[in-house]
Amino acid sequence: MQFHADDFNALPAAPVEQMEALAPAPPLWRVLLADVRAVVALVVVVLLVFSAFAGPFLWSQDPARQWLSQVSSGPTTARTVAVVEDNPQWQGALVQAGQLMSVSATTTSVKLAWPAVAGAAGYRVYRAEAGEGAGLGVPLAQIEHPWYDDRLQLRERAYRYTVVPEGENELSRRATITLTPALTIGRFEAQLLDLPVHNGEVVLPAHPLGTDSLGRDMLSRVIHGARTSMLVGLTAPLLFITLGAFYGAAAGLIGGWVDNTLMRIADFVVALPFLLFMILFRVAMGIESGESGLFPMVLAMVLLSWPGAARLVRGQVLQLRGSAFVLSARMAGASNLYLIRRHLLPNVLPLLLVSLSFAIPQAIFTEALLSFIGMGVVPPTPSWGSLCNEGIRSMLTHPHELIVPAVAISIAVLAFNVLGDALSDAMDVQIRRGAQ
Amino acid sequence: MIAYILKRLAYGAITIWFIATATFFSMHAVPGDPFNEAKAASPQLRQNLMARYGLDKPVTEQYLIYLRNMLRGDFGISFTQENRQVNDIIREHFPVSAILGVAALLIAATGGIIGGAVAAHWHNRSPDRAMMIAVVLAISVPSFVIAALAQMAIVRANDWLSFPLLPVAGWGGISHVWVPALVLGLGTMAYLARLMRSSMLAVMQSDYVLTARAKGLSDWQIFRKHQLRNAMLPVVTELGPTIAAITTGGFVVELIFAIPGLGRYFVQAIQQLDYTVIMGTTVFYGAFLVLMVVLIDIAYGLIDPRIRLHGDGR
Amino acid sequence: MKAPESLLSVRDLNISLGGQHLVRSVDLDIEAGQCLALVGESGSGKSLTALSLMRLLPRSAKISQQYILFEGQSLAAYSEAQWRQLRARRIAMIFQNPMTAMNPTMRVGQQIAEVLCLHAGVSRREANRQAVALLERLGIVNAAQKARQYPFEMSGGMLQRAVIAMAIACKPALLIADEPTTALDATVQAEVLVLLRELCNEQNMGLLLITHDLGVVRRMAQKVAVMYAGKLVETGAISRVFNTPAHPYTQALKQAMPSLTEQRDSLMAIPGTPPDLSKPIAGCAFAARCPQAMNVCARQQPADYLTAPEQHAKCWLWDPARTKAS
Repeated sequence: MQFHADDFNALPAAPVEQMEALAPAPPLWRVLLADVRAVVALVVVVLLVFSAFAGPFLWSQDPARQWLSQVSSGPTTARTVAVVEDNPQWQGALVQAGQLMSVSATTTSVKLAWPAVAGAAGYRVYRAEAGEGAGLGVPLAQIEHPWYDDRLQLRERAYRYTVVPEGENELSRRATITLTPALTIGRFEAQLLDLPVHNGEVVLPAHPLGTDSLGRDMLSRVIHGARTSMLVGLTAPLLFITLGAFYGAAAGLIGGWVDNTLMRIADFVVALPFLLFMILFRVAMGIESGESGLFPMVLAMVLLSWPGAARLVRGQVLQLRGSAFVLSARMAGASNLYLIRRHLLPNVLPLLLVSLSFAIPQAIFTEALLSFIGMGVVPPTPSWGSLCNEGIRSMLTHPHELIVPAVAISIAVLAFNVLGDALSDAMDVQIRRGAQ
Repeated sequence: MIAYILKRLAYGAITIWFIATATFFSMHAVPGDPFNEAKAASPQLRQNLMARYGLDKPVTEQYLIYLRNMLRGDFGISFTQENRQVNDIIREHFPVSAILGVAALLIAATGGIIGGAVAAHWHNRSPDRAMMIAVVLAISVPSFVIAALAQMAIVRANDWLSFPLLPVAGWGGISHVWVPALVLGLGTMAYLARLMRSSMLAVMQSDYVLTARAKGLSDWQIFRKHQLRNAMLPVVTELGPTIAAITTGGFVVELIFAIPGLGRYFVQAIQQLDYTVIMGTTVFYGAFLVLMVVLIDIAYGLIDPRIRLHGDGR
Repeated sequence: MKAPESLLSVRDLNISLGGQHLVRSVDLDIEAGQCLALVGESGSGKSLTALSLMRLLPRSAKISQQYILFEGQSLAAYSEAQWRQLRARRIAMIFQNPMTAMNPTMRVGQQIAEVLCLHAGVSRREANRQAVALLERLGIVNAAQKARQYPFEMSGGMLQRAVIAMAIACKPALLIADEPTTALDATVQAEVLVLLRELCNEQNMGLLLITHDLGVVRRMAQKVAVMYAGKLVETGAISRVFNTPAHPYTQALKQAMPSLTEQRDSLMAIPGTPPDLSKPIAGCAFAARCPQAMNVCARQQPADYLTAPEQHAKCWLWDPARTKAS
């Protein structure tokens, strides 16, 4: 081995390290903001709360207004459509049809004409949705003249009409036409909706999420529904966690037999079934079925859900009371108020925040469930649960009416759950750093 | 252990008494009385009806009669369907709900425990990630939406196969049970899986599992003899709230799948304001849930020696 | 280096975990019936070294060695199944905290019997009988009743005896004890140590004792190995290392130990903190804290020098070139 001349001289004094000062644990919000999913969830939560309360000003459609010409439609943009007379007399006899043809096709009426078939006793007209297999579809009419004016709940989608002349060889002589009626609006409906008519045309507003089975704008209904859901979802947990926190703090601080009794009561309240008590409150307040009852719902949640928070806070109080640093602070003459502010609150608040973020989705769920079975908010008042309740009826033909509010619930619940997870993870990080 | 069981039972009895009392007095706080003009045409008829349901006596006496009847397991006669005993309604419809609930609970507990253990075993690898995504989704979608989607899927599948693979709704054979039970148990299963995963992870880190490895036991032996029982303890404590959730969820699932269970009957009774049925089923459900919680507490005591031997070691 | 008749010989053991090179080129030799103490502060890699001798490392750990010989067999290529055959039967381990080392929901006797069932192939009833006998041998009164108890019903000292019973049930040739007395009351510590010593003598068992308590080392071990930042900085016979420590770290440790025989004004703490093992270390890991550090220490790793008969140290102070230079 080769050595340098100064190898065995003393190492310059510099590198003798001092004990590094322990870095203080980073604040909770900073740990949280470093977590991508927490940030995403937080943004979603803020957007949800914002849209629930400011949404109606941004999307000003009336959630109760019915667009009868656009019942159960998918997403649409704003469009200009013609206004047609509601009840024009139409005599197909004037039309000379060489084959089955549509004279006009709008969502107000589809006018069909076809050449008369020799020897036919009459004609049967069928209508099927073009996507729906090869069947004839709904029988519309049995008529003697070779024209037909269809006004039966026409929508803006492809239909297949079949005309079958009655008599011999019926099936071989049938004629088929596929068409998509243009969207129009009847004069009566235009007046009803109070839409300004220019040159025989009106502007129909956009429905970005489509309409429901009564032709009401889904986006506006979901936004108004969010108000109900968020109102219940935020107030009830805030109230019962606050209640529980004070209750638990009182039990832990007073101690002794008071603590014992208070916690026995908490154990007992946990055993009470929520739904039954909510129904009792409803009945006791004289709320008939079919009436909205948000108050008994929130009341039952508040009265029955606080023990969790109470136990949490009591546990923290007891732990702190027994800890050495509180003892030494006490010996140094710290007042109870100081101890609560300086030691109890900073330890308890993050824990309460975590339970809050798990209680909120629970409350949103409960509201939706109860509204769904008609014991919370009842149609026509929109809430996510009551929207699902309405949507489920037309689920097989128009699944978007169920899926839109269901997705809204899921996104809200997911966001709060993810936020809660991230929050408790961030606290773990903080505790671990703090302990090092 | 016996003292522990007695204590739990006493708590349960007090809870049931409280539920019964609260039910009675909230029913009596309702303004007016159940027989208004619409139901009882003449004052005389109304008088007769009041007498028949014992509503003409003073409240305290009614309460005592009510408690005595409860103790004898007699819940009275339905208001809307006269001549029908509430007991008969419960006897007829509860078994249906019970079958559905037990099936859901079995599916949830088995699936949750296995799923959680699998996720923990492959911690931070793809089975764990997939499981956790599934869990978050299952927790975030309301049960009635899952029920509706399941129904929709059955309809589509039946259409596509052009023969009925599964019944869409109703009650009858085993084929009617398992889709509603799965739907009912899904949220609980996800919740239990998550619980099992974290408790399993804690157990896997524990010293006694390292000891077991140092003993030369194989992974499977360690799992079976040392991990499973310890990891299941927190899951078992959560079964009480779980049964409550499944009972409540059952109301909706029974409604959607048109299953003639007590839950659907209960919801109908509320909509029709059938007071005796509401009172009877409320107290019955309350007693049932409290009893379940007590049974689970006792079961927990059997699994955890710390409680079995000392009454409470937690 | 050591003669091949050693019970266990490991050469150039390296372990890394999570990007940190935690055990660096460690050589160990343990003889039957003898006690080797592995000493070092927490985080120095002692426990990891011990776990690696039973292949109980976490899955993510990377391990390599030049060779590992146990009872004349090379264990380097052993499969997991072969390792399982070895564990508890030939090499057994005692962990630091008896309160957590036992399954809380299983009876103590059953946990001991489990080992016997697995390795001795005896019936459950016979295993239970032997478990009670073992507990009796370890000085537990009323052993039959204690065997039916759960861990939470026993005291720490009693539990540690049960853990020892579990470890020696199959009469292993090597017992690894990872801080066996740290979690115990001072009065119980002595009893457990005496017990371990007796067992070594009685069954001609090798003992690898891991501890940071030099008092325990002096009472128990014939040889000692001092570990710092994943490296063995000094090894040797107990009397040598204690009386004339060759490595500045060992000297500092000795200074930090309270003593009844010497009059000292204050205990010496070692200034500074151990190095960050996630980065490669150019020279001697202790250089930054060493009062006698030289320029070469920061640049180049020292070799293993024989400082006296039966005493080795990895320190440039012992390099012949330096002796010449000064």
